[in-house]
Amino acid sequence: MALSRVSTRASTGAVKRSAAQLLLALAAVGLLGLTGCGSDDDAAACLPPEVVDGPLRTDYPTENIGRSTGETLENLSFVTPEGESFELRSLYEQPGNKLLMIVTASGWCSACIEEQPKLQALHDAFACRGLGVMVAVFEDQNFAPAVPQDAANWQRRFELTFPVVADEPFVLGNYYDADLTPMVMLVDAETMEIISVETGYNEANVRAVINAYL
Amino acid sequence: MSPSRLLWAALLAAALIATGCTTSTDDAADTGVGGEGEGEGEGEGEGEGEGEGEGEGEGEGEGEGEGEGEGEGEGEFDLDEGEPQPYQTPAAVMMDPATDAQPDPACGGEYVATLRGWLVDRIGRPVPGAFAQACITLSPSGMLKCIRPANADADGVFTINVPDGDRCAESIVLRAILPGTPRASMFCDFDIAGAGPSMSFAEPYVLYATHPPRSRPEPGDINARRTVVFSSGLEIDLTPFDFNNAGYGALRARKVDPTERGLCFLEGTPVPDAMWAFSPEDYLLPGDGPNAVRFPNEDGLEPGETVDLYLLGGLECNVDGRHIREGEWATFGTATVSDDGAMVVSDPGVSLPCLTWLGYRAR
Repeated sequence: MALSRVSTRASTGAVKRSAAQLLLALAAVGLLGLTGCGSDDDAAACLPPEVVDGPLRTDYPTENIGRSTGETLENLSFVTPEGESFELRSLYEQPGNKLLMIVTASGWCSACIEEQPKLQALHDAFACRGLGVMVAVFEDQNFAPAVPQDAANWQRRFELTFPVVADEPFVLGNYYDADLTPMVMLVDAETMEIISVETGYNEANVRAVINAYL
Repeated sequence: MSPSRLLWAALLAAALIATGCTTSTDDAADTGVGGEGEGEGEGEGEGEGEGEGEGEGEGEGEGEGEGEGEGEGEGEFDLDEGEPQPYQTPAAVMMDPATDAQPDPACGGEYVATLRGWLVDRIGRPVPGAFAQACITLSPSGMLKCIRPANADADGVFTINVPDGDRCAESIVLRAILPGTPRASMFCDFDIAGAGPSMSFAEPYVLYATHPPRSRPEPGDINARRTVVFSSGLEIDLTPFDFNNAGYGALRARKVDPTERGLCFLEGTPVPDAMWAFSPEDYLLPGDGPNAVRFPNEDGLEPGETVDLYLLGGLECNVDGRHIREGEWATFGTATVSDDGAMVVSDPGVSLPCLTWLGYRAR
């Protein structure tokens, strides 16, 4: 299946913004200037207290599970560099996450390699506004399924401060034309609804969704 | 040592122990004969052998001290010695692949639907099971996407199908590799102008076998810089910790005559005076010091004479913040002949950033 065309829900995101959310965003931007938000751990530190201390999302959505835009992304499992289980639930439950950016990567993919600094830059710029980024490494440079060490190497190599996981069974390959890499998936973190799935990194499209949702 | 570096050191130490990194101090020429290895490697290995000689393992806990513990198979690991033979182009290479792809009239670049070629060793023998993998820069967006690799068949022939919707190309780079074996990766950035929907490469891609180093210290303190000496006399100062893919234990090289076949990346560039191929391909993280390079002055250069150092852009080669594109043959520094005229030594601050292919050319 070719999924190189973008299908977005940007207009829906615009409708969703309320006055309270706008105030929250302004407060977060103000805090961003004060705290110099930069790492995944720091994201919560730069979010307003009412966001950090507010009610947590605990029940991962289970309705309308699917693989296409508009459907709910399943609670997929991966493995951390330390060899521990990592579920998408972690991103869903993280306070302040509004928009998730899930990206596939492999050691043989020079396009993926070139993309990493851009992902880190997006994280640095928008984590405090609710952007959660995750990279899932599915193969190493010799085309072998990724193991936790590959995720560790990837994170170290690019100095990434957001989650990097190993996707050994390549579960994300079910969501796009896996003949091409990388995949960039944008997900509404509050509903886990798939907003868009693209192959290749399209900065303009990504920023359009970010601006609409954050 | 910072806590994060200590953690990475521990992880890397574990990986190196698992790969059975050895010290090889035998000054004998490479015999191409492996000892008895163990286990299985990734991909199509060139097998285990019996006999004498030095060998090393690659992969998980294999071939420590003896033999080639890579891949499956029987017999000696072939280092492609001997006289290259005339190519025998497989018929399948030039056959028009079955495709109904019609060029998109809106494509301002080159419309490419299939890529077909073949992979051989230095002698000209097919390398079945090797991978050919392409990355395409799309026109007009300039977006880079990489296509899943294709395996070469028994004749070494591969076919890469470019997914519909991503066939309008500005450029295409192809990487060839036989994982789990000591063959150097090959990158070719080829001219696609006028290629048509189906591109076939009459000239094969050559995967050169590499030799074990003459001397490679045990990992020990993986943060300590040490010198690896290759059979050709090439020396590189390296730190195991700085290998991105823990390739220190498997590092090999081969001096390749620049007039040899299949050096597609040299097209249109000044021919180097000498060059080396490395395996496995690896990216060297910026460490605490330069990865200096030294090699014997076999060309009779005068003391103090300067040469330009070149490298082949691979998956990730960066020089002074500049990314060296895959398939690009680019300079990365200079070296100077020593006062006694014996060696050519990389100049202060010059550091080898990746292990793909290395060359030099006198000015």
